Amino acid sequence: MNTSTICQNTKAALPDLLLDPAASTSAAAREHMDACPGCREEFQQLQATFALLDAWEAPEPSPYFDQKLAVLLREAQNEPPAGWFERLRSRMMFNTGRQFRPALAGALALVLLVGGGTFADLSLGHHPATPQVSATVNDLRIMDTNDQAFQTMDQLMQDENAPADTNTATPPAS
Amino acid sequence: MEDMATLAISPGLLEDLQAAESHHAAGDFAQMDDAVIMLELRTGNMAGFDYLIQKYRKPIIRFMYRMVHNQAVAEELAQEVFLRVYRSRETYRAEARFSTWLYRIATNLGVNHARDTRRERSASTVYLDEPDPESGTTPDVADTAPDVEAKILRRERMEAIRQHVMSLPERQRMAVLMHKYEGMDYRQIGEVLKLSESATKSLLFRAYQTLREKLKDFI
Ligand SMILES: [Zn+2]
Repeated sequence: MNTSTICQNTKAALPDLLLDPAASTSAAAREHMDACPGCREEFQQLQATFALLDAWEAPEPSPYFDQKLAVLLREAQNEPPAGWFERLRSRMMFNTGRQFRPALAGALALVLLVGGGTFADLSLGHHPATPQVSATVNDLRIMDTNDQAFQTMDQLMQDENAPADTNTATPPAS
Repeated sequence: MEDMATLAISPGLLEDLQAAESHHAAGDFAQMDDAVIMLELRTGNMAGFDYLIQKYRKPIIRFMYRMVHNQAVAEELAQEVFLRVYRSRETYRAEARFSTWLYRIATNLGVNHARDTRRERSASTVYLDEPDPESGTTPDVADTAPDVEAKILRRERMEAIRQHVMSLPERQRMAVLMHKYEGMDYRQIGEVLKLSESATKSLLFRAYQTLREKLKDFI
């Protein structure tokens, strides 16, 4: 193995050296750095950068934080429970379980396609019961629903644009 | 539904469930998994939720602060995070660590806020002789000269760190905030950002390499 290959291997091990010093890849790299000033300098600079970031401090919470939050939570306790669509959205946005996502995205697309966003129509059918809601309210509701859907879609797209090894992600520990 | 059927067969189970759902003394929560406390919130156990808030409010406020660089806004967003956790108590499944879920919500809110205010932020330039937007203080001219210089240098350095972290690509930025400032490991950061461990590792490494280049004058 020539010198430049060793240097490349060492550079490949730098993330572990910097971020996870106990990792097994670190030992060989460490040994090489003892003898190679170039690799050593690169690592030392990264280490110094990592340490420099400590200078960015964040303030303590203000004394009113807990009080304000308590008020907000009391209000939330009195709210009616979330509808199924809200729950579906929340689950798609925040859960880590990738396995459900394609199915949910499909379901959401279907809802938009069939209902044009007025998903209530799915259960009510196209009975004249719905027109009680004014056109404006309906439009607003469609816009809101579509907006939520687009946000979700946006997120799904982002995930697809992620590096190829994304799909090897291990399922989260429970 | 399954639960109901089981209950009909075995009434004793109902008592067990009620015992499990009964509220705990504050000290008990420290022994419990966050996910279990979260599941109890569905049954209305607010004391457990108070415990989770106390445990996570500082890290979450800090996390939001580094995203928005304004304490008042950071606290509002942090309140919104906990409010959303509360509102989503029905959809929470213990399939992910509670903290992963919490940071997922915080990341979404922070990123959306950053997108909404991107234009305003790019228009504002920070001048060192103006009051600090966070603390409202200016470098104290009554201090001895070396002190002022040290303060200005410290502030310049913090400002440079902030600006260069902020100008990283979104995922790199979030990864650095979680790794450097929240002390999270690759695996959990990967869970929040929906990336594999190796992708998270290279994302972080690229971020630190960029920062090394940009911040070399301060090293
Ligand atoms: Zn070398």
